[in-house]
Amino acid sequence: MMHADHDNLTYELERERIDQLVDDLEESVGDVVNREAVAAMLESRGVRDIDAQKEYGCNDIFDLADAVFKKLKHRRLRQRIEGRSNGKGKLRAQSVIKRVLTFLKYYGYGLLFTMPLFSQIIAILFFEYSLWAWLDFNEAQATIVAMGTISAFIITGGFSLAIGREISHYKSLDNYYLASYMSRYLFIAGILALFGFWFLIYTVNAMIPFYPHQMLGIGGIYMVLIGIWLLASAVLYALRQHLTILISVLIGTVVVILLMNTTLIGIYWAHWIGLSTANLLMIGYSFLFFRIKFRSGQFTEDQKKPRLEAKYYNNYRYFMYGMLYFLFLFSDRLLAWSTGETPPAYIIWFDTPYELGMDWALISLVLIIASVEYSINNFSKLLFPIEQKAVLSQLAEFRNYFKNYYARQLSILFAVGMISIVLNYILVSSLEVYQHQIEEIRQFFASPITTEVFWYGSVSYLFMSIGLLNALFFFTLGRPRNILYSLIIATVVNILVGFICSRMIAYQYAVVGLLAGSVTFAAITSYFMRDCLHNLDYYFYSSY
Amino acid sequence: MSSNPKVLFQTEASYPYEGGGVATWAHILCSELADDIDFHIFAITGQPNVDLKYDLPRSIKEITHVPLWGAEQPVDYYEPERPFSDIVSAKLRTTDRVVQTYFEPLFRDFLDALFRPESSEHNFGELIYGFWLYCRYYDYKVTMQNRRLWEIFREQIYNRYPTDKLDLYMKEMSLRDVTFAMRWLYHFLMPVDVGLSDVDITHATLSGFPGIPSIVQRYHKGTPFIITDHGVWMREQYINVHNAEFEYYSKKFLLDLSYCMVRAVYENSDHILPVTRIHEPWEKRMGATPEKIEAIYNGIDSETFSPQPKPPKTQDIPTVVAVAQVFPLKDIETMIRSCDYARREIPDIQYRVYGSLDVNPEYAKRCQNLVKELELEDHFIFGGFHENPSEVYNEGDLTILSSISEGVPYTILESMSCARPVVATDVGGVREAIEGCGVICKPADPEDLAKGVVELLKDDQKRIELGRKSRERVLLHYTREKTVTNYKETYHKWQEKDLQPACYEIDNDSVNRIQQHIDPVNDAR
Repeated sequence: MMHADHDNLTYELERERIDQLVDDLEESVGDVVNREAVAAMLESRGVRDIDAQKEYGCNDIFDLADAVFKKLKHRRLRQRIEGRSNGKGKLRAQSVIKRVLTFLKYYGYGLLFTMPLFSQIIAILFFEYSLWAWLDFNEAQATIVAMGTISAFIITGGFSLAIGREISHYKSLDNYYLASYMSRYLFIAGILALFGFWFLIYTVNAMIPFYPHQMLGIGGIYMVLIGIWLLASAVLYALRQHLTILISVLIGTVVVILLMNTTLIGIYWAHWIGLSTANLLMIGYSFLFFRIKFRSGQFTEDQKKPRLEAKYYNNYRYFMYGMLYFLFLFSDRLLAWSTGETPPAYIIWFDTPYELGMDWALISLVLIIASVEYSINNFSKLLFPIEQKAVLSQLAEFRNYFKNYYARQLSILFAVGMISIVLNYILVSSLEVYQHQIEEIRQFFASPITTEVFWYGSVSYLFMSIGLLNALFFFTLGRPRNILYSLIIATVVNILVGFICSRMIAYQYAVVGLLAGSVTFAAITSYFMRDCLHNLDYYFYSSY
Repeated sequence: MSSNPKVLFQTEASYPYEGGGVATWAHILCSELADDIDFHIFAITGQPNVDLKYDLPRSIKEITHVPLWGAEQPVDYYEPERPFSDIVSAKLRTTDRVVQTYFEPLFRDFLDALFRPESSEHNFGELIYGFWLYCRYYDYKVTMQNRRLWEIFREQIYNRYPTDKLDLYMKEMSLRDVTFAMRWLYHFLMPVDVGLSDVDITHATLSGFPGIPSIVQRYHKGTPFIITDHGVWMREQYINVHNAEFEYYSKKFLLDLSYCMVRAVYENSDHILPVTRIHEPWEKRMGATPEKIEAIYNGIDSETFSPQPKPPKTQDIPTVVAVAQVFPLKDIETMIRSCDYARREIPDIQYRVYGSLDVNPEYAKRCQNLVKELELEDHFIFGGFHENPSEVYNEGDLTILSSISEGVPYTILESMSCARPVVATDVGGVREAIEGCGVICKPADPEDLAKGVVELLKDDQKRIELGRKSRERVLLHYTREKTVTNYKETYHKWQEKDLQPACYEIDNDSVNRIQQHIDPVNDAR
């Protein structure tokens, strides 16, 4: 009897100890996958075979693990049955207040991105000069500077996008050495491309003299300096040093204004010195930024450099998109400036009313782009947590969430766009009353073409922003191919329609080409967005 | 042309790009066998941009580096000589139709095996070989990014979980977790995309994913496959994954994948060489057959680690030494508490712990606070990292180890070689190493540790006798020469074997289909 009592007591003690193990595991781990996992965790807590035998009455650690596992699983199952919920949370959109605050935050951030451009508009209006423009340029000067600017954007567009991608990629790995290495490589390649293009047009012009060589010389210098500015900005933008870009632009502009107001250096040298100042500041800052990051980072110069063919392959679609984007943006100007009732002085000749109209429309674009910035940043921030919240059986709900999100973004974009365009029109046209007092205002409103081009241009920019929004969604998901195809088609439409309209109707209707192209870009990219939204889970999975 | 055996030596997060115990062992092996063996290192790392941590010995003829994460085109790292145009051609060849016709059946069988890991319907090793065959001609990344495969995977997860009625009402997998699970497949199975090596033997340094090239070589060329188990990889997976911040089904998925991998590795291996026999129950549980298992113990340099008199600074102080990085598995807190118990018996006792405090700064801080709390500042000293561990053991009268998990730690062998007996917790291969010439204690029990320490410090004769026996045991079983000789003999033995490639006995239809479709001789890269 005493022996049986002793056995019972031992058995009770052993059960109690097993229960304690169950409590311990439940508290520290919760749900365990299998008995082997339990055995591993018991061993890590110092339980050995000998302890399993002596203290728990089991044959060995696996036998003990089996006992613990069964008790733990049954206990957890009971708890789940008692406190049962289906584990699904509702996928709600954020509250209105949160959405408004987020909008203000990212819209403000987007405006910061456009501040350099905005500052140039302000500088020109108040001081007559900006970093590469002057209110008193004659048409010849305006032509070469405009051609230089347009060429700079087109040639560096692809390099800028590639710089952004490479820096983002290596930043995510905390590898600032390779971020610097690749941005240096692309920066230099971009500069070589600028010089290469300059040499090419110079050579062509030497055989068929479209322009006097002095014009090409001056335009080329503008092209190279503006191109460098764009490349340096791309580096800083990818490093999220937007304020530095703004400060560099402001300092450069101040240099131009000071030189013009205090010396007889002339506008070209003033611009070139101002641009060089801004460029040196940005390049110097980038250099210092990377140096500081090297010291605190773990990656060194000894690491293997990436194979360039792999980089070309990874980036070629983005590169083509970047280049084509600016060709798309500026081709209407090239078409408008190469025709007219009065034939232009040279093959492409600056047209003031047309350009004023497009610059006026650009103000609307600045305000609309900030909204695109909000949509994309918010999308990136939402995707992860919503994916985490949505369980597998909520797949349809997850997709609908983002379809609704996208619809809201389109609505916001339209609303912001319409308000921007109307406000822009009202504010600028309200200045018309001063045209008798201020010569520049009189000249601004001298031709009805300016206002006509403004309306077409603004609406074009709105549709283009829709296409841009779609493009950025796809870029976020690492899918440039369909966007590139869309842009190719849109550019062809832009050029064809613009050519026909500018030649068959009047030169200023080149902007109709931009409108047609923008609508095409928006339509095709929106078509691809449908598939993306309907299969967003797949697009997110495969975005590595 | 060298007649040395050529060995494909597979590592993961280790030699030659990271340090640690396994890396040290690998470097010793490669250095000591410089004239006898030609090594081709197959190094799996987490990131692509890694620096060499060792001066490579001349035995290393080639390194294949496989970065599982962080590379947009990882093939560029493990096949840097391959023309990129060839890589692009493979991508273009990999159409939706190709994926559907050749890869999808294989993928379905693979998932079936994965979701029923205990089932023997599918041979996991065959499926791995099938993946490799497919990748001879088609692109791995483009395939794994295929929309159809994602839909199949998602559907399978939805239909299969829960697999057990005890998992009823467990929270469903989130979309993000399903995304990560499929991406884990892409990353961990990446070695199937690497071409064959011209070697006589493959040697995996753990029984997990580095075993993939060995399985492939075994199937395709009959290359003998040996494994060294330093710990039990699957056991460590169970602990690490359960401690990670994953949801239940993510843990289950990852562990089932690991389990299938380990079983395939053991099944296809020819020789399993753990560093201690203590892991045998785990190895058998994971599918290793006892006939394949033969321990080759770690070895140390018995001349460098030799008995010396205590230095003046500890001459008259009862000193207990430990060489251990300060992190949770070493359970330094228990060591500290044992010092507290021991000083009640021996008031002038000193514990000196040499090891980095940077591995887990939070834990190190906790230990330092505990020392202050117990007022042990004069008795428990953190010596930090010591460049010459051979000097450290001779500072003490004995060595202590309080770990809760180990293989066969070098620290106890080094101490034994210096004729300093060891008081250690009964984990891993410790018992096997010190039974009869040291004191074995219960893990996580500071009083038991203190009892062992006090016993040896008070009994000079016993301590000296155990120290002598410790040194003897090292000279008999744990010298570097012995370890290296054992491996050299093993390599030579397997070099002479002529094994039938397993590719002639494939049962799986989807693998057979790929075998017929692809000509690995002409298409192989």
